[in-house]
Amino acid sequence: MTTYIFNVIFAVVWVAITGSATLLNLVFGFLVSAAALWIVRGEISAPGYWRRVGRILSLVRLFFKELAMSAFRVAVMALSPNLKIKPGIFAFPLTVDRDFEITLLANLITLTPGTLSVDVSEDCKTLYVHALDCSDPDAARRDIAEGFERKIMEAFR
Amino acid sequence: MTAQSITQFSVNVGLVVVSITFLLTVWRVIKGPTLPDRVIALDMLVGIVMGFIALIAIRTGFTLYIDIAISLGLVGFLATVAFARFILSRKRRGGEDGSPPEPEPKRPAAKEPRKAATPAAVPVAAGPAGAVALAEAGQANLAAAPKEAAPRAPISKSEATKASAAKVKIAKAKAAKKAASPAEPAAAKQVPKTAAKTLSKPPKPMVPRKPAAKKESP
Amino acid sequence: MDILLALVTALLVLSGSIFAFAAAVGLNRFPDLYARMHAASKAGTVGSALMLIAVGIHAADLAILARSLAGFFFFVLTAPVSAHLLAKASHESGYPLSDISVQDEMKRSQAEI
Repeated sequence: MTTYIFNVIFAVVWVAITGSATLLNLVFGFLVSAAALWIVRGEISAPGYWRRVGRILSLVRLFFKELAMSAFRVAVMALSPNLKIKPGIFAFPLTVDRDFEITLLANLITLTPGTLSVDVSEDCKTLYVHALDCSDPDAARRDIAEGFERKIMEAFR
Repeated sequence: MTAQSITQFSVNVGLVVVSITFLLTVWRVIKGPTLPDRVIALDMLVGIVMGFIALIAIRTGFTLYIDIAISLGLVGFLATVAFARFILSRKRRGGEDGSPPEPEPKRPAAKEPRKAATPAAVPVAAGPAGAVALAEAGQANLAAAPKEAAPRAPISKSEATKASAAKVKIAKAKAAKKAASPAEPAAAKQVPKTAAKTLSKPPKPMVPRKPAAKKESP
Repeated sequence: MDILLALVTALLVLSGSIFAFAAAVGLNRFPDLYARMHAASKAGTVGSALMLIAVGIHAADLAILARSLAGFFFFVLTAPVSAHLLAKASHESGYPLSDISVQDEMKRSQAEI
């Protein structure tokens, strides 16, 4: 994980030093810093670095797809003539246990259709989620567990 | 030429739609029955203003406006976080005043007089008096849903009349009396009069304000 | 090429403003605090974000596009955080769900503790 942070920091430093803040230059700086980190790969030892990049990119793609879908569904729900929603809060048992992953999962849940993460329990084992359509909480739990949580586990474990 | 006209047309339509959106959101800020409702609406106002800035950037061609939009988004985010802290801390102080293990009965008791006012008076108070009425008569004009209020908030007829009378004097609108009076029997009908004693704390701020308002009116 | 850019810009602007409008309608129609948060944090965010991207595409300049994308990412990533904070704060300070809500497992678990 630290390798990625270093990579991004190096890319930003590259952009700052070269003095042209274009997207192309940022991508070029990212590649240069990745190459520099690759040279010292023995020191920082990150197995499967490039494989993970693909998974993180697929997570990002999933994120934007879900964001578009959720915005569309909420918009349709708001504009539909008769408002039939069944809001409620359900508890979601967390499988991921690291703070970073919980934060990411909570943010992703907020941007999925009709769900909004409200709170995490004290022991970080349960996430409380508010859903616009809470008629079938088990199905919502299964969706989150098989969608985002699995993707996050793939990308960061 | 046609490309420019397409852009101009879409930006004009977008400005109109965004203006309507802005007004709708401001309506929620004025009406919103609770503080978090208003904070949500304010948070969304920041987003709408960012959209405004983006549209104006397209219209005028000054792309420097993007930086303004980004910094506005930063400020709005920080403001929302600060408001969330404020909502939390306000609860904590309420818990310290009463009994710490049971903050629950205190909050509904504080909220009941808000729902006591008649829904007919809401546009009157919100319209002419605007923000002043919001700040001063805020406890009275926030009737969210009468259905919801009926079972939960018992209130006597005298309470309702006090609240509406004080509000009328603040707003100084004669029409408010007409609007408020037909709704009072409805409030009285739903409610047992014996429940007047249960509401000890909330009417207090209204009572001292009443003579002050009387001095002003003649 | 110009016409293509203009069409993409127009599409982004119109869909963004319609999303923002739907968010405002939802803000006024939904029954309680938490449902309103859905409207504001999703549809509203996407609406303004689309308009920000429209500026970058309209300018047809990579530097400006990069800046507007930075604004887009910033806005999209902070909106859920602030919505989550607000929901947590208002639930903890005891603002109730509306009557048509189906269940509240959070309240139940807190009562058990």
